[in-house]
Amino acid sequence: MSEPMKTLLAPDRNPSLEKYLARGGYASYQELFKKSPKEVVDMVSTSGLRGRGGAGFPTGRKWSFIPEKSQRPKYVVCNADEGEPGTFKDREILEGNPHLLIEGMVACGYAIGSNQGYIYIRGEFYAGYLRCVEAVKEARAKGYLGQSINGKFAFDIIVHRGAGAYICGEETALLDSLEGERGQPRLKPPFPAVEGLFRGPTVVNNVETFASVPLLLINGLDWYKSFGSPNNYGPKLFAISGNVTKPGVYELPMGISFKDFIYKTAGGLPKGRTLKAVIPGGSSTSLLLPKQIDIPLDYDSIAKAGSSLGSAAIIVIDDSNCMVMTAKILTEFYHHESCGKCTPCREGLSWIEQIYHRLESGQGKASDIPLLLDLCDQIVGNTFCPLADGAVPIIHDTIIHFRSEYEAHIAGKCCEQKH
Amino acid sequence: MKSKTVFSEKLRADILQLKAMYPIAQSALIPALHRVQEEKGHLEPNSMLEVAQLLGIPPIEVMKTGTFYTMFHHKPVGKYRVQVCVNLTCSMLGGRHLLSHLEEKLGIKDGETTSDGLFTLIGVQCLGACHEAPVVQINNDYHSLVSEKKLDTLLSSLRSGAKR
Ligand SMILES: Cc1cc2nc3c(=O)[nH]c(=O)nc-3n(C[C@H](O)[C@H](O)[C@H](O)COP(=O)(O)O)c2cc1C
Ligand code: SF4
Ligand code: FES
Repeated sequence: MSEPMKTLLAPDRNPSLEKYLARGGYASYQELFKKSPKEVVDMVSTSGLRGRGGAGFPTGRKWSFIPEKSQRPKYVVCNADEGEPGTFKDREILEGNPHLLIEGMVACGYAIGSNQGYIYIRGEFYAGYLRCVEAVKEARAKGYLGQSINGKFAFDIIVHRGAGAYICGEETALLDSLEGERGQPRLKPPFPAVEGLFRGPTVVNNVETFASVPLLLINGLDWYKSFGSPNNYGPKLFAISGNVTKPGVYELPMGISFKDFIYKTAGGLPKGRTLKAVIPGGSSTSLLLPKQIDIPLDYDSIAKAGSSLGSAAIIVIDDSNCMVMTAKILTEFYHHESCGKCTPCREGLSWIEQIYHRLESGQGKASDIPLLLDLCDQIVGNTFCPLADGAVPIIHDTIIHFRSEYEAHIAGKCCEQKH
Repeated sequence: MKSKTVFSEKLRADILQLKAMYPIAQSALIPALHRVQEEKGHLEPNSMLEVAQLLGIPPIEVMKTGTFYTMFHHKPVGKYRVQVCVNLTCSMLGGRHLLSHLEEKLGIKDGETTSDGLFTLIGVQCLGACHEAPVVQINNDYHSLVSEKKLDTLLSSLRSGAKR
């Protein structure tokens, strides 16, 4: 099955609150308030829902880390900093379906005993920001947010804009940014569940993670688990871009055929082109080659193939692309976004970028290939946060699988493709 | 150092209102800087001092945060900030060619502003809209599937003051 699904999560531009209600919006509150907070956490745990922000951490387990009693207020923080190249699914929810996000954040607040939520939205998403602000007002006016939701529970949300910094997607950098600081990752532990926003216990989840919870509450565990396989359940949003004829965001059951998704749902490659490689989960994930994509599209299958589902952002690369330039472009990105806190990332990425510029201008040396691999080696595992680790796969993989293109660049016979 | 007031009553009131929304005043800093920039175009030292005063936080905190984020400008920028995505999907589909096209057409480099103060050209990282690549953001508005021709039309309509 590669036909897109149509649950509340499906991309839907233009849903006013009325339309959202007509589609069954806010129906999850009836189920939610029938349960105890602990029952809600247990249900999310049993559903197997995994975080949709990139790391795939089990959501129920994350919620269960929040202490029941706390001196300081607890917080629910939505990570809407979406900035991983290739990723554009959260924007669909923020601009098209913000009430679903609100509904999911209320469920989290109720489950962990928090009365205040924040949506941290990247500064560039101005339309999404305005839509979320409006949705919060609408929800307050109708009692879906505020002092007495269903006469049972108080919860409110502040929508907060960032100002341009990919690193603020890292959850602790995000919290610092929300406190008005530079967005630089914090030392862990303490983890946000213990000491997060304003030093209170905090859940940080991705937009789509929160938006998945109402589906689960409304339709129940059996329904949820009827999609996908153990450890990989649920409907999910997949973003596909690059060299396909129908790029976009699709809601699909977890576990459909990766190949069908590219060739059927997303319309396949432009005429006359052949597939060179696929980035399966956002720019930080390892390349998959054409022979590796005959697999189910889910967390475990992609991990088994040697990469990661990450943020489910698939970039399709065809034979019109130079892989050296592909790696160069992403290296420039990671270098630009390095927060500067630790040396291997700040200096290492700068050095790697210089090497790519050398290769681009035809000044590359044979020793550049082992040098790049060596620099990658020195970065992985030696940095303060995973940003720099994310820069490495595209460099490493393009050298391993497309070494001849590097050699051609060094021999001065590089492709015509200058970026 | 005490700065003289450079803000309007309304701007001061808006910043104080932002401050009241959060448990700690500094959380209102980024929203406040957005608000100031919206009104004044860029962040001058005097503006940052006044934000510090209004929020009751040390000026150095405002400087530290204000200089970290790419969306904050510390020098005057054009009326229209033309932000061309140069990340992967957009580059695969012509984004960087759009940037060079504009450099040539406007006679400025990435990061510079035209002498009439109308356009600032900025190559930016992934705008989170890769399915609409190549993407150009002008001020707050996204433009998708942009071609050289579409861009030319867009700029001339901005130039002639006919807002979209
Ligand atoms: C450099 C970096 C950037 C990240 N960007 C995002 C992002 O834009 N959105 C997001 O939800 N998670 C992002 N993450 C992951 C978050 O740190 C965190 O794992 C996530 O928000 C947790 O939510 P989840 O469990 O619902 O996935 C990023 C991580 C790193 C290291
Ligand atoms: S790895 Fe890079 S982004 Fe992460 S803390 Fe170090 S310098 Fe900052
Ligand atoms: S690469 Fe340009 S919007 Fe994502």
